[in-house]
Amino acid sequence: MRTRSIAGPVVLIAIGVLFLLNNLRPDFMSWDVLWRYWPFLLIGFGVVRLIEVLVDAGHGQLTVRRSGGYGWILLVIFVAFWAIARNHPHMRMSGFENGRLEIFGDEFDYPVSAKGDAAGVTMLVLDNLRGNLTVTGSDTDQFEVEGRKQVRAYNKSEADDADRNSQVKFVREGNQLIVRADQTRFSRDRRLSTDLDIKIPKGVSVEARGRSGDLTVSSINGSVDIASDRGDVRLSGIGGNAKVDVTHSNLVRATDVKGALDVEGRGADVQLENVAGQVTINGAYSGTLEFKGIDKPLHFESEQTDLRIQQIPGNFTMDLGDIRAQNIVGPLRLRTKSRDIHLADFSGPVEIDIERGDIVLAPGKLPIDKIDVHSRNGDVELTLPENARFDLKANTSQGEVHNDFGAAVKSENEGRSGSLRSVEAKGPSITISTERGAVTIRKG
Amino acid sequence: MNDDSAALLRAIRGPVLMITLGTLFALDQFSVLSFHKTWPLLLIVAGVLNLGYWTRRKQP
Repeated sequence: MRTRSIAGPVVLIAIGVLFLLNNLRPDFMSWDVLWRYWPFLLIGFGVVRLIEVLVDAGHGQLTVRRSGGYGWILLVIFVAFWAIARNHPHMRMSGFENGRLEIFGDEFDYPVSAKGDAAGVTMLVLDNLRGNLTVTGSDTDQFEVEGRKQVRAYNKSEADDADRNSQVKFVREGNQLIVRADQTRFSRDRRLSTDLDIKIPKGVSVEARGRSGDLTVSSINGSVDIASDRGDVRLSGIGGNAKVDVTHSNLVRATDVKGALDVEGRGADVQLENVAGQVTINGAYSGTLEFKGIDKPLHFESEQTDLRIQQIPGNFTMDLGDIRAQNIVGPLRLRTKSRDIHLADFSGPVEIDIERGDIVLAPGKLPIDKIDVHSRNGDVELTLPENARFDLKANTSQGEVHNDFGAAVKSENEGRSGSLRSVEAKGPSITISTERGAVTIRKG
Repeated sequence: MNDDSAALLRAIRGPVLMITLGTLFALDQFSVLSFHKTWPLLLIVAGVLNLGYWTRRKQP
């Protein structure tokens, strides 16, 4: 008797679920990361079929199950993926940063150290280095590098060979100091990483390109420009503008930046504190974004969210579920799909447009500015100071309205819809509309 | 008895090879053991399975 195996359908379902997840929550995971785990799909397929066979054998009715051709089709697809991924630098991690299996081979350490005159250098270029780097500005005219290179290999001679072929070079080109390691030959094997601690005159600018690994830059008067494949970025005490473009990061942190800040890419957490210039963030971040002490306008843009805030003297926190802010200055414009929003102690006009989520607003400061809130599905709660002057127009198509403000507002429930109106218009307009949800106005 | 275990060996051959292949690709991805070094293991596993099958099959 020949029966079809359950493994094919199971794997098909698993693939379908992955695609669906990726479509629904693009911030949640990325294909580049998932690509790396495809062999486990193959293993899972084999394990399911093996279990089937053993269960059948246990019942004493061993049958030859056909995988319905799925197995070989999947295999061909996977091998094709593998071949593509191998030759595509963006599809694989360098391996030194994340989830590497470290049971084969041994780790060999080689010290790296260099020193030299850096008078006249205005730009430090970190060229395609793999590993964790720290750049610190100092008051001298010298550059000083201390660090170590880690080589993973089967034996010492192989490691020595890799070390010899990947010397870190310090090249002076005009006013540029270039730090470069010829790791191209070894990058595919993911066996090599160089951790460096670089001290340079604080007047320089820093440029890092095509690298992977964590980068920390501090106490630099120039600007910073980072274009990296993977790794965390920490900036502190930057005198000029900073541009961070990291394809994959767990953390981008910038504190005390005097110039404008530009962050791009995909990642998890973003923490910005005390930025004097304009802030632009463009990308997909699945963790928590925290903004504190931003003096100039901030613009955040992702696939589902567009946020503009004039100024953040207090703090603003945003993750995939919530947005919370305290002490911010509008105009604030927020458009997003699904989030609960909690704004307290704000001034300036506010415009919010969301599809799903509860909104709680408490301006706290007088005078109240224009507020315009639209939610398709969710409750809206507004708390206004007792002697605030405003012109309220609040509507819900399906839900209740509550007036805890008092006589200045009159409420009306009509069938499933309801509205709240100022008895007398004497201030900036407050417009609230929700298609489904309760609207509450409070005094506080 | 021998007949049964021979059939069992034949039935698990496909799954076991697939698991081996998946493991080798996973090792390629996550460790220093690249596939172009480990592939002969596939032949060995296939050989061992076939050998087991051969020794257990019904003698004519």
